[in-house]
Amino acid sequence: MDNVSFSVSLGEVHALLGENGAGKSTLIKLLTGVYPPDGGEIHLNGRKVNIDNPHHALQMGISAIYQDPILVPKLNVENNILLGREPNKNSFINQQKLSQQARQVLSELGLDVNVKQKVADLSPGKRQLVAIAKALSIEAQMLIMDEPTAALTDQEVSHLFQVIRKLRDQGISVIFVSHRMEEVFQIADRITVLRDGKHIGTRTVAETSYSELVHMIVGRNIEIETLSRRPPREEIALEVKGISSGRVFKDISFFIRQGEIVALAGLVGSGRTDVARAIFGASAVESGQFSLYGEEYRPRTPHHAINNGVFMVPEDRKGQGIIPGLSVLVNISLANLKKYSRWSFLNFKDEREAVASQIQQLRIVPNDPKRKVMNLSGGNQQKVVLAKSLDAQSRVLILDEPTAGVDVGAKSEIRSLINQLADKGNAILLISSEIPEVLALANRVIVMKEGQIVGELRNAEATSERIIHLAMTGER
Amino acid sequence: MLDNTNSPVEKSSNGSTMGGRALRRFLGREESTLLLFLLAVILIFGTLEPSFFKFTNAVNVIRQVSILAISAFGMTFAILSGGFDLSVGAVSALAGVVGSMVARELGSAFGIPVSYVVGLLVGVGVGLINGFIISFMKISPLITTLGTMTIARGMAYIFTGGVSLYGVPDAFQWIGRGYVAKNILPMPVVVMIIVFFLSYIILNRTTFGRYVYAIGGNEEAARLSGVNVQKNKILIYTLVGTTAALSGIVLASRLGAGQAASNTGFELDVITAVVLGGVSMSGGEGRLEGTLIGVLIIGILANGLILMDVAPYYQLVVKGLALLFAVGLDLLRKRIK
Repeated sequence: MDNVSFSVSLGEVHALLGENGAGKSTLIKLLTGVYPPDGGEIHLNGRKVNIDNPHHALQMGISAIYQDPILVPKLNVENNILLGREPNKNSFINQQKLSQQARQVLSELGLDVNVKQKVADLSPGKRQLVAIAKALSIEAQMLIMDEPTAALTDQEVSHLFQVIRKLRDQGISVIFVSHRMEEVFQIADRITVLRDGKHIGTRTVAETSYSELVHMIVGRNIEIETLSRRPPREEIALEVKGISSGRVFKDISFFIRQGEIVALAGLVGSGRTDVARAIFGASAVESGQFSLYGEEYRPRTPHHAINNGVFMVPEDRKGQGIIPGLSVLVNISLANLKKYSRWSFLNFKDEREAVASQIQQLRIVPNDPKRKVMNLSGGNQQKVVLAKSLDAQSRVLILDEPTAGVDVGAKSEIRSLINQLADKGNAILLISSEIPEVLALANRVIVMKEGQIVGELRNAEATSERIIHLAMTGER
Repeated sequence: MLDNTNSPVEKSSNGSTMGGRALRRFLGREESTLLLFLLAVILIFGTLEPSFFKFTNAVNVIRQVSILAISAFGMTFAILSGGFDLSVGAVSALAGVVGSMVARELGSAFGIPVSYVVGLLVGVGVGLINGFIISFMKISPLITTLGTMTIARGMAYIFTGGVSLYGVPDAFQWIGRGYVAKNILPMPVVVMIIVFFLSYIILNRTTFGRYVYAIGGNEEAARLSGVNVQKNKILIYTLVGTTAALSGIVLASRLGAGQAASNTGFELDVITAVVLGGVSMSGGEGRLEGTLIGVLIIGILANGLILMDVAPYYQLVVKGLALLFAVGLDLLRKRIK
């Protein structure tokens, strides 16, 4: 983050907008003392303050709540609200006073929650409200809310907004981070847009519009040169028809041709990754159909998907992609050991040769197959995961954020690799939060919002603005 | 891993001597500190008690640890995969009891191999059950094997009525008391060597062995790479159960009787040996050779202390200290590296 200035007045709801990775989370972490700023100053009530750690932030009345409220699910509501601040005498808790104080906080907010109920048994919306009650019981002057509505129903959102307005009227300042443009217009007084860690501008709601904000959020992105390749073949490689999974995604239909790259765009939480996991058999669907090369396909497990020529490079590299304590060799060949074995006995020579050629093709550094993957850079770790997917010789590749957390050089290498794969006839489903990357690679862009497809753009008509606008508002 | 540029040793020893490099290579090997520890123990006992170095004593040590070793080789798979198995002691007792019951019923020499096989099947069965519960019901290995451990021990008592099953044909004692090459190589040692080589090949040369490491290293990544985690976990616990049963048959054969109370607390000895051998309890890291060294350290400590007339109660204290010391030393090695 670089040289961001912004102010919040007393009794104001101030919204922060920006793409994934624009610097919103970093700003929140600075304000709540999670990490210290390299330079610049923070003023609170006109006085310069240093926020050294999260505890210090709380003492100064800065309290934050997140998309997933940080509560202890197995404790009840009152114990959560007053956790660590229980009224006590010589360490013995005064149970009556505890209940009374918790009830008071809740009633001040106009919340109807049973203080004896376990937090685990509450709906996501109620949990979010309990988190707010907890934040306010510390006598917060400033409340930071990071995507508080992401998991809530419409009704719960409107209740949350009533509470926020009430707080504002009491003179409490609220910083509200959301991806949902219409919510921002409903609740915010002023809006600040961040992009690439920079402060782009602050507007009052009255003086701005959707289109101005989208323009500010997108800016003039660095163009990534479009790589040339053969046009997609006629044959359809993968098709999904009307797949749904609970509240996560609904009625998703699309197809990918051989040699085609289709991007699944949308904000974090729009259900992109969940659709990808369903195609790979990593999570279940409730209804809908899949077909591969015209034949019916029912992904049950990743094992089954890989046997059918479908492979996914997961978004969470450390948690799901690599096995950090094992060697580059073991990681790369893992998905294709059947080919390097006979009667379950490994043929080390075949395996070594295949891995060596992958290491060479992807230019993995260092080119030592015995090195533990945890000792590689992020970019090379990602190349190891990609090498594994190539080694599995899949016809359909799902790439979830393939260039995230990777340095610039590795990014362009990975992009040209993806392009080559499509050129060779692989069907690719690309998920990426970097819109220039999507524009450079994809033949078509499918945009998702809140678990549904809201539109499809051909490469020729797709621009950063149109994609962001569609992803945020659901309208063309 | 040896030339990790972030390590302090690397920085300080730039352009260093041959000795420095050799030391680093040595520290890089997972079993190096253990081997040193083993050698130190051997040297100390050898100096204090010359009879320690006799060939017969060496064979004696290995024979005494063979039952522990057979189970520990199986347990290595479970711990490498990120789990473990508490039921091995009870399973070994149950297998010994069932094996000697079958031998007694059949009586004849023909019945002996049958009794060994039936005893082994007990271990296969309990292992399959453990694997199914852990894989499909997603109950943790701790709870699952705690449950089956209690059940297996209870069944062993039910089958015997709490008394030792004597009257087993003498031939039953072949695998526990017999020798290959007159009085030189005891059968339990032969069994241990065979189990070691089979386990070594399975762990290091087969896809299954590779999957054991992958599941222990990152279960979700393994699953998303197409590894059938559930099937492989069932195989792992079946293997553990089978080796536990085998060690139980060898023990019953040595004792000449199935005893429901035998090998009580055995599971903790087995886990101690594996961990002492440098296999990480969090999974994915360690080698079968390490387990062998761990077993030998335990055996040599016990043997040496007996030779030196140390009272048995003190041996327990020494065994516990050895575990903490060896694991602490290994952590130190990793930090220095």
